[in-house]
Amino acid sequence: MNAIIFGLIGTAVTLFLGKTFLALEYDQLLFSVLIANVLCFSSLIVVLQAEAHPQLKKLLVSIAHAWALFWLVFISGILITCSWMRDVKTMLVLWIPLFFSGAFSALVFGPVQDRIVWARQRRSMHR
Amino acid sequence: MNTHSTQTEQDLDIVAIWLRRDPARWVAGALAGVVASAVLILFAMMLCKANGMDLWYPVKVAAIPFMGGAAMDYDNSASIFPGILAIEVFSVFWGVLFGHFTGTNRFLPLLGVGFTWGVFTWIFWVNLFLSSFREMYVASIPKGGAFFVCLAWGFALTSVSIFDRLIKGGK
Repeated sequence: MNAIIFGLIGTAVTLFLGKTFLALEYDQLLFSVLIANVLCFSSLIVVLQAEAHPQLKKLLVSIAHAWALFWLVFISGILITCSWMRDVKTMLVLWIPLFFSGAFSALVFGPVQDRIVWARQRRSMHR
Repeated sequence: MNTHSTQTEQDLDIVAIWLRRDPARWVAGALAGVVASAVLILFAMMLCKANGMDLWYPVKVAAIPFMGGAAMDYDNSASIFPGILAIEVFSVFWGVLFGHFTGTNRFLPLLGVGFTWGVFTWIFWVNLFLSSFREMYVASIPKGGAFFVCLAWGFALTSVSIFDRLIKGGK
């Protein structure tokens, strides 16, 4: 339920700020929200997979490192896919609302995470 | 609805932090933001006074996006209130986010995040965002002093632990 509430609030704030203060079009903003969801999901998968990798696991010693990896993937992806986000003002105003609008991806991530961890545990049991 | 059911080996469950609904923590963060904004304004005013600048320079600078270059006039006291309000709103917003993303009340981790928050604010908001306004660029905020003001603001946000304990009754 939290994912839907955070996602709706994030999307509404993104549309409001983007249209009112940044003069962006609705199609640009909705595309940004869609991309934010794809990138949040991708970032979570990257963090999850990095935790299982022997070399990368050493780097992810705390939650701060996990967040750093998450943001690296998320911000890079936003900058690559949305050209209008390459403006400092736009990026600084929209990155937090976009991050929360990406909360919808958590609905999909939960079952996928379960599946990945289950498969990983099954593999290690067979070894 | 379960969105993060399986814990991973290291318990780095960032989804749980991201989607945590804890209104008491948000209020604690907002109150910490108010305290931090007071620290920011007072510390910045002290630095300005010590360097022979207008005492109200820090709050007048914050009013520039709303009032334009006229906010910086020496005898213009009308820009003081909007400036204080702008700093308060900014600080409360980041205080709530600070509270949201830091679940702990331990001092050292909070200090670390406070440091990051301060440096982030200095790099992105002071140097990049504010400088993108022409009048703000002309006002030329002293970057060295602003760095220490941002750090003091970030460290003051650690007061979230005090408010969190007060609101949750010492838990």
